[in-house]
Amino acid sequence: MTARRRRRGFHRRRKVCRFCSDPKLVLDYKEPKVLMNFITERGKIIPRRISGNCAKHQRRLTQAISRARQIALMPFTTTSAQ
Amino acid sequence: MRLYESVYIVAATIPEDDLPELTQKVEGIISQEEGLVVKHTPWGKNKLSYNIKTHGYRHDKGHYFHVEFLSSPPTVIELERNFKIDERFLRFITVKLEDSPDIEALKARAEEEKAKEPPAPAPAPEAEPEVEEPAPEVEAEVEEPAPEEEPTPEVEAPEVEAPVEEEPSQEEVSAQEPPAEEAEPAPEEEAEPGKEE
Repeated sequence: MTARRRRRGFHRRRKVCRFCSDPKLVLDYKEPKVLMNFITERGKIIPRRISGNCAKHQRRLTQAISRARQIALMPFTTTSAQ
Repeated sequence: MRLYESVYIVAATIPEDDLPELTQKVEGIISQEEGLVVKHTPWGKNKLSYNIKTHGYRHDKGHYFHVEFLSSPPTVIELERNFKIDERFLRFITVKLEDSPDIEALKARAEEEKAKEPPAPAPAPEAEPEVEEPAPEVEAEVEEPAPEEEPTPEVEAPEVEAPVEEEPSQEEVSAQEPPAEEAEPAPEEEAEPGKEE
């Protein structure tokens, strides 16, 4: 079996934890630029089944986002009007 | 003695001339009872991600400050008590970085930081993690990266330990299967399926 599976024509890419594959990507609550990649437009945290993060990094990510929200570096939520 | 860091926000309605008074107040509290301010950096006036209402005023901007300091736990309580009392502080967060830091190394670092005080308002040296540090910059800021190296345990320890205990096989497998080309496109994909749901 190959790593790449094909299902009826469309290609499902294997997801990789970006923090594991890129050691330079810092996971820190003081780096909202990085964290912003892992929330939706409404400010919700993207689940790991979609982002492909590993469990360890998803835990740390959640913690970092929570902290960043506390000090207004990241939004808790955004209204659609904005 | 433990190593902590705090980020706090001062209301943007406070004129910039009054900021030194507040930072000195913070340092004064930390310095009580043998505390040591390792590094105190202003991040400048930033827009808040959400408005903060205090005493009838809606703040949308704030002066951010970051302090790294060495102190005993009661000092932190005292510091936070003061943040709460003073209306000029909008938000604060204190995070413990290390339980038993190398005090001598930190003292040396604190002095280095003091020596190069004037060039301050840069938001942390790791601001752009994805970009490789260009050589010229490194030379220009020799003093900056150097102190970072000393307290390696705080940065590296968790990363080095954890993969060994927590993710034995999974990480290795995923690291092998997908070639490097797949690592980058991932972010695009993550956004799209999110909308579908």
